[in-house]
Amino acid sequence: MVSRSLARLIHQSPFCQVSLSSSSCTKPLSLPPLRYHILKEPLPYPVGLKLQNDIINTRLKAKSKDPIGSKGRGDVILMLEHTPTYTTGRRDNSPNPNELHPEEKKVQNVGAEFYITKRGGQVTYHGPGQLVGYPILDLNVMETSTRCYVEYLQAMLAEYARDDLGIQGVLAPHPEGHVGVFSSPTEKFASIGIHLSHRITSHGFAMNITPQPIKWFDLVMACGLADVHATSLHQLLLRDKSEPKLPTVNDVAQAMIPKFGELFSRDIIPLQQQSSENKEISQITELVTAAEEEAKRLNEGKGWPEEPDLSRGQG
Amino acid sequence: MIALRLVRPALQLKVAKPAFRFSSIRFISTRYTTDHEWVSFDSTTNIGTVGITDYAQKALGDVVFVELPGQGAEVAQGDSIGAVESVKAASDIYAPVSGIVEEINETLADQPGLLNKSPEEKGWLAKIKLSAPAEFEALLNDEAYKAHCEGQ
Repeated sequence: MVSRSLARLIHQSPFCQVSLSSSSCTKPLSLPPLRYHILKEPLPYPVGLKLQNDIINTRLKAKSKDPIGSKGRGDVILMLEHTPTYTTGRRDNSPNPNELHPEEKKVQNVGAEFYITKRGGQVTYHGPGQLVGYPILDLNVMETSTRCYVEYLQAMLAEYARDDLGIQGVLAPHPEGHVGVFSSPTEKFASIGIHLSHRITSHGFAMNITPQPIKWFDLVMACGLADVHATSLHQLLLRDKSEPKLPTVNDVAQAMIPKFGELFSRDIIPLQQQSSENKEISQITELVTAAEEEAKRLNEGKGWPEEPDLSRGQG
Repeated sequence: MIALRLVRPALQLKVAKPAFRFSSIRFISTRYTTDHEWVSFDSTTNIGTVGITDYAQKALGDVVFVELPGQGAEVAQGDSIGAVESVKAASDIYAPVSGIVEEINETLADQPGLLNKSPEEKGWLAKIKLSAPAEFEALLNDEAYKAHCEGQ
């Protein structure tokens, strides 16, 4: 069964239509359910990075032992918030390690960390008030090309803002082809950056829910786009409606979960729900629990700044 | 002088004998990995040219950046040796064979789009001097690779 939103996606993208009709639609896939977990604790960035790497290694190990049986069983979507952090993609991996990235210079002393990652894309910010989604999916098993995966994520985020919240003028893709979800050609509220390791995805998307991330975004040239500014769902709802209901980050995470199931035509169940004694799933569950505990330990008594600290001067 | 002349052919014979089957004529063949990479192996130089297949470039979309290993780097089969970035997605690339990186395709720094336009010729990624040529023989041949793509 092709869902309403999936039908719209197919309509939007001539390329992805070809791949859908030629493979997944003629030969229905019977894949195990997707798993999801909403992390309770805001995650310091390195804890999230290690968690993703550990899950991928667990999955690759399971796959090497049982290439058929493990198919897609470990597919999991993590939803979370980070503590304040700037990151950039591997394109910005400076050839001279002694020299700071120019965007990093700008935000050295403002109270956020800076990491160069292996994802695609350029500089972005993560922090409280923003929903981060890390789908760890085996695209080979899902018979989905990299290009279509990015388009699907983008269309799903746009659909949530447009249909579920009723935000006007949502643009995805951007008229000039930039990846992400925009509310006008110069305003962006959701970003995408992916890493593929043996066709297993990591990193994912980040959507600004409250205005809290915006002051941090304003300090950098996000995604290398000079004339684009960050905005949030709350700001857009207040712009478009007289007395809008403003969703929390957790509300949005909850609303996105069924959309993933619909998008990939798979059941979606909580990570902890053990359908049977499955080693791969229990290993992933243990990794997630350990990451939550580590985050709690690191955050304890420390907290994080609400706003960037501009008093120490920017590099 | 005479002595040297005499020695030389003798040495050549010694070397040529075991390698005769492969290296007496220039023999280049191409094989593939399940990660959608190709290797074109020249048995006279023992160098394999590596790239991504047309199937792979289509699935990626427009390539905007290519990360390659350093010249002289020693790589083992299956090691991540760089990445290809398209539409905000960076896909790891793997060494299809073990060896030393002899040369990388410098033009990709300015023209990453060559991977889309000419993935199996001008868009080659690196040349690797094979340390274990038997690895190459174990990769997929043309037919097996085609079957792999259709099976996906």
